Amino acid sequence: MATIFAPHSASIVKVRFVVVSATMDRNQLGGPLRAGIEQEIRDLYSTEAAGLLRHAASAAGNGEAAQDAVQEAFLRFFIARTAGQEIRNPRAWLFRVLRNHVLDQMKAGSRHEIGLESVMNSPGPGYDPEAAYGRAEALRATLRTGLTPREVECVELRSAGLRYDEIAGVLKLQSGTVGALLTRAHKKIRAAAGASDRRNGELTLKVATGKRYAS
Amino acid sequence: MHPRTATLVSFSDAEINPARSRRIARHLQQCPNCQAALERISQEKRSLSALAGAEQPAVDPQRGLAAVLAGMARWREAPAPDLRSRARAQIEIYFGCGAASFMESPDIRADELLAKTLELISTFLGQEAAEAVMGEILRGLDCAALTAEVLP
Amino acid sequence: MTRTEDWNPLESAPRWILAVTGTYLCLGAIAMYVCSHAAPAFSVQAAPGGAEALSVIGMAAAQAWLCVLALRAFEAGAPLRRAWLLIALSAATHVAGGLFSQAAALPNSLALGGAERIHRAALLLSGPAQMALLAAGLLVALRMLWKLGFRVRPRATGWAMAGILVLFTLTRFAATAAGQLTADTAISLVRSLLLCVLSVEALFLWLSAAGMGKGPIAKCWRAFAIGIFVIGFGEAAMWAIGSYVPGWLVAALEWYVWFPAVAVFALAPAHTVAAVRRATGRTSTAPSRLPAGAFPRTAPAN
Repeated sequence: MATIFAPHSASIVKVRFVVVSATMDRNQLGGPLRAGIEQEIRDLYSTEAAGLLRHAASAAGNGEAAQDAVQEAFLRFFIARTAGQEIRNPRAWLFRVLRNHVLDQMKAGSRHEIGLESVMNSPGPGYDPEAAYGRAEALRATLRTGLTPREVECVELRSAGLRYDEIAGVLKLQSGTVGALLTRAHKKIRAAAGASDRRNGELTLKVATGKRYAS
Repeated sequence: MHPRTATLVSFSDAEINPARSRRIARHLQQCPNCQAALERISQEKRSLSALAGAEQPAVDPQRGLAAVLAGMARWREAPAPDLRSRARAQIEIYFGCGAASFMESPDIRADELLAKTLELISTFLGQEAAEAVMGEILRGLDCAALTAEVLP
Repeated sequence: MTRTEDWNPLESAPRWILAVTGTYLCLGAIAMYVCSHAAPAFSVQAAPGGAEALSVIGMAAAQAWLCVLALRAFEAGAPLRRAWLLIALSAATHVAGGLFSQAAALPNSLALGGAERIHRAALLLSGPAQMALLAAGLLVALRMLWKLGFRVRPRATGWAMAGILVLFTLTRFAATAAGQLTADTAISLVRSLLLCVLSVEALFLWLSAAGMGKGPIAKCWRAFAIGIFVIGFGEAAMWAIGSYVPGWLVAALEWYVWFPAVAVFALAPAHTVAAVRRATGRTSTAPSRLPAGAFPRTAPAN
């Protein structure tokens, strides 16, 4: 039978599919479904935009670029939802897409205003956006308490209300690692607070100069 | 046995399984040292949050929402040739050229083609793969510019 | 992209199966050349007393495992999850039937009692049970293909072939039913009926998948069609030979029909698993290549 069908196959390939099923109604996107998604986005924007903006601003170092990145994330959310994608955890999804978008923008290089001019050299062939992201973060983090970029990102995402598994999803880590990174951040801030307590008697953050922590 | 700092951090974030969480809660009732440690962790958390939120962006979130809503209103009519070719490329990768030609009928809108692509991939490869393929289609795409294309 | 960096054996599963099958077929050819009576060339190929070859059982087990991997990609309630579950069960019954047939052929199986019953259970499992589950699974997949628009009406040649197939089955059915109806012949009759159903499904699957192109999903469903055609060819050959079945022919069928058929069945889920890995493995942290034309960025709307 295989031999019977083999010569026939060439002609079958030319056969056109007969019916385009109407699984996706052409007007579906204009109706209540779309209104529902719009409301979903308004709700999400009111709850998540501030956290997302903070995260984007921290990564991009510039308010306008952060605003653009957050808009982009929400537009993508809208496009994905209207295309029928189910997003079980919109918050984690938005943070992940936002982070990837900022990384992509960095990869696109200095042509795009992302506010990292101060920390990025002109991208050469071996340019690594993760490292640039890390350098920008590292610069700010070292100015704070000596937290590593990963720890800062974990703290930021946790402050934005993300659970450990959501943070792990955004940063592509194991959720156990998220707990460990947060614990390290606590220990560092404790050390910094302890040092400043001894000096001032109040909680001011010590600049950890000359101190490097492995990420 | 006193819980370690890592455990207390996870406990304060409600990231510990219920049974263990109950055990720790019982221990905390009897142990002033650990209560103090937990209180310190809460303070540290506030400090860390303040640190994370130190860079408040000087932008108006409402303006951002208006821009998103405007982009959404224009999206349906966006010709989005780049998006179309990306969706088509994904169908070609997973199904083949014949399926892609069949799907991309001339009168299909970009949003419909995207929906169809997602439906095909999620049906035959599952939700997770569909999500990844969607990410691949949108990766590097400037959706704000895409929705601005229809402006006169 | 990342695939070359972190090598994933499941992504190259189709290539592995093809390599194993190719090696196997080459070994078969050498064995037949070396031994004038090619019957049991290697112990792995020995099929005592009509038992299923270990190689076929092994490949069916690989098929079952790959089907389970494929079904895990789907959410509970997804139609294709149901399809893969049925196909995995079909492969599992094939394995169970094969093991039973091996047990029945053991020298001391008579002492164990019920060698006949074990043999019959083996026939039932690796025959009608396996085929019925496979047919049910493929029907679910076929309905989804049709629902999504990949529906092709067969041409006259397609209908003619389906007609010949049904006629062949009916003739065989009538010929067998005319004789004395034993348990074995009943199993054989059900088997031929199910094979007819499977062949019609395979025809439609082939039509739907052939027009798609060369993607892994098209290859997956085409593989099932090819596997069924190969089995149909083997059955027809067995029927044409009649009651006289020399040992070398049984070996040849094992080498060149039953093993390739089950290998092709294993290839189908392997393609799906590879495609899923390929899709989900792409979301690496570092952005992948940026397509031309995506930038430059324009001023934000409003």
